[in-house]
Amino acid sequence: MRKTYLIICETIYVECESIIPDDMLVLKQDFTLHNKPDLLREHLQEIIDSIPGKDDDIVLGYGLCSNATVGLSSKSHRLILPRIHDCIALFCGSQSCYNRHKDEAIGTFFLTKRFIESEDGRFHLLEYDTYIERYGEKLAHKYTKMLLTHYERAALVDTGEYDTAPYKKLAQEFCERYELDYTEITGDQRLMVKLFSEDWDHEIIIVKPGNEVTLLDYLTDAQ
Amino acid sequence: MSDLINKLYEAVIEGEEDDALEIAKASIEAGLEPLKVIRGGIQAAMDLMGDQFENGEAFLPELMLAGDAATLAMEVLLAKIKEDGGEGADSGTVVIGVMAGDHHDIGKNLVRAILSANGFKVIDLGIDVGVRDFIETAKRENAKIIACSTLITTSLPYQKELIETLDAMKIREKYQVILGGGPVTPQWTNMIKADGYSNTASECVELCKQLVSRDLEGGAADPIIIGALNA
Repeated sequence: MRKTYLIICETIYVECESIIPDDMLVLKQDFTLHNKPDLLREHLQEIIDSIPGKDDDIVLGYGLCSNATVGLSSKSHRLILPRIHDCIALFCGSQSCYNRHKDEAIGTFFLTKRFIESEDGRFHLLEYDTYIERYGEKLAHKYTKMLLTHYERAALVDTGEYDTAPYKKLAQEFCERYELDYTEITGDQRLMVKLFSEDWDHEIIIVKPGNEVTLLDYLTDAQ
Repeated sequence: MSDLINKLYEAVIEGEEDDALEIAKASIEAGLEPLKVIRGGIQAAMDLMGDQFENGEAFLPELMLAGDAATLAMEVLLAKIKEDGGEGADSGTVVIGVMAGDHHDIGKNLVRAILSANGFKVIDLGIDVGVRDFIETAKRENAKIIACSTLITTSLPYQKELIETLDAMKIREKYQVILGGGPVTPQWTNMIKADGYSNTASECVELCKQLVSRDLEGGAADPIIIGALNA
């Protein structure tokens, strides 16, 4: 019987934990490697290569992630990926829905639980915790402000997976501090449901064994 | 090496914009050769910061601040070279910007600073730049290179549109179009028939040097790819 493995970023995992089918073999991954897409790609390839057997499915719970998924391949299994440029599209329900929110204001900073709070409960939006440790509060504030140049608003996406009240509060405080407008977006788990359900269509990339994920896979219109 | 050059080197590394500007001015008043100041005080500092960032020793804000300090100091030193009628630092003109629909400019600003530190005249069009703006500016400034950056995949098609527009205007051979940004790959560069790609801001200097020195009168050449992805 065909098995389905799910290699998933922790940031996405917390937005869909309740809808992951019980028979999926989940390999949850840390978010931190996102800052080094080449290393993230190497890491994901190692995990893919370590999956035994033949002719199973490996679902990747990742967006394009600065090309971290481009070049991934499996000799023995199919790779299944959402055709989305950014994981926020997964939380919005589709690439087109994400595009609409982005087009409303190109300087939108999207937020979810894991962008705000680390697994161990630290406030780590834009690596704020690391900056405080390295530079002290005054410089950390200055640097964060610098990183937010051209951003006009922050949008908290609520997928309905957990109580967002504490994150709303943190996001609002963040917006006040950095003079951003605050807004909320009602998310949708439909694309995550599709990814896990094998009801795969044009919104999903299917890579046959021996083939590689390419950038062009993502540029094919999924809208 | 002059004390002022050392001080400028330190100011750039520390990202102290005001200090870098003042020291650059002081070096001119002291009669130091601007090119020597650029090489020892700015290029060397940006090289070090680039290496430290790649190795994970420096963080992004430090690199950004160093880039801003380098750009400010470069402006006064390049103005002095021009005033003296020299062209020693003129490696060519680059028009740079972030493609329409995108506002992520950290990478673009780093490339601007590093190219500027290496003697290129960089015209920065900022963010959310339309295809026509790139082309009109390149024509007006007699630029050799158009550098277009984007972090988001949805703006990638504008890079393609830029090249198609140059083709349609029959001026494609006048410009070397280079691509940058998170989602850009050598494969994409080849596919849309751009002229160059580098994986890092530092490697972009070598890319631009190679591109300005090649002659395209005889027709299109293969793109130059420096630092391909590990994929």
